Amino acid sequence: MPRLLGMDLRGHLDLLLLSTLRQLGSAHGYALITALRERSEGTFDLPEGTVYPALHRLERDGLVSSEWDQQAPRRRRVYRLTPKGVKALAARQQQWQAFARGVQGVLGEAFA
Amino acid sequence: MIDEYLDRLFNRLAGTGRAGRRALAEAEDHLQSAVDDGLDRGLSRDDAEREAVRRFGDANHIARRIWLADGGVASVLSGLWLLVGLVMIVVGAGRLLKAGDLAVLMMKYPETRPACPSHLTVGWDCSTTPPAMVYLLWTGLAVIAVGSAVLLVRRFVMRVHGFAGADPWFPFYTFWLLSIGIILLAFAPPMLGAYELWSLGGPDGLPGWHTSITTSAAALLAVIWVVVSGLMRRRRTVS
Repeated sequence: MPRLLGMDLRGHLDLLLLSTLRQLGSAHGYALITALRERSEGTFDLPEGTVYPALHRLERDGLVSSEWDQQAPRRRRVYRLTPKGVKALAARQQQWQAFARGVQGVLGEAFA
Repeated sequence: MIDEYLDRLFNRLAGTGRAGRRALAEAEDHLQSAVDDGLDRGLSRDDAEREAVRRFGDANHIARRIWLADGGVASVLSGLWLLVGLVMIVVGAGRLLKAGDLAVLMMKYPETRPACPSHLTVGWDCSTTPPAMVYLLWTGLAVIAVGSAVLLVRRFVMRVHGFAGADPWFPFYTFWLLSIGIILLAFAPPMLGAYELWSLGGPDGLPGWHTSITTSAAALLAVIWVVVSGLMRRRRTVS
């Protein structure tokens, strides 16, 4: 699992996927991981295959739902947020913002 | 290159059932989409496939994470449950066969049955006495009943909770577990039974192999069953 500033991104992957899926509405795995990489300007450049175990786990937890896309040229699974997933995303965004404020507070003092 | 990668992933996902099949389809779609993007960017097909596989990640690592995300631990627990149930049935069957051996022995040589030492009245320690045979019979049935109950409970729980993974009745390794169990059943009890009766002072002139007629016959049938089943399974796989 890639690391950023020494942090294991595994714990934050769910938040990143839920947020990206919320912005896209519905997406298959490749579109999701590509959007994640582009929106982070390459900061979150994960092994692309890791998105599927994460999506399966989110689906098992009821935060996303999926179905086979009948219009696609190949067999393709499309994911979207569930209402429970929307709530979970809001909660995790609040937690992250609180964490970021805390870090910024400390860093701001350090560079004062 | 994509095909080789998918073959490796398929092998690593063996036994994961529907979840693994879905993951494989998603991986194939993902890799083909990545290849299409690479071709659009001007890469050659080989380079596009190589980049797609590299970016997707190591097949072992991805398969393991898929296995964990889709209830892999539950599959292991259900496999252990299956093993315990099967072992109990095999052990119980061994006891029944030993009881059968004692019955044959007592019928064949009633006049030469050695006297049971006075301090051993009931139990398997004095294996040529009728109480020991009855003890083996009832304990064998009890162990088989408990083993069967373990398998039935496992089946019920897997159906209720929808454990992902292999078919709840016959995971791919069931044939090998049964085969190993039957082979252990085939060779261990006759050797143990013959040694036990011989060491307890069997009748003079009584050869060791007479002490396990029933078990030896069952052992022979078991080995024949394993060989024939293996050949029939191999023929179905090839055809």
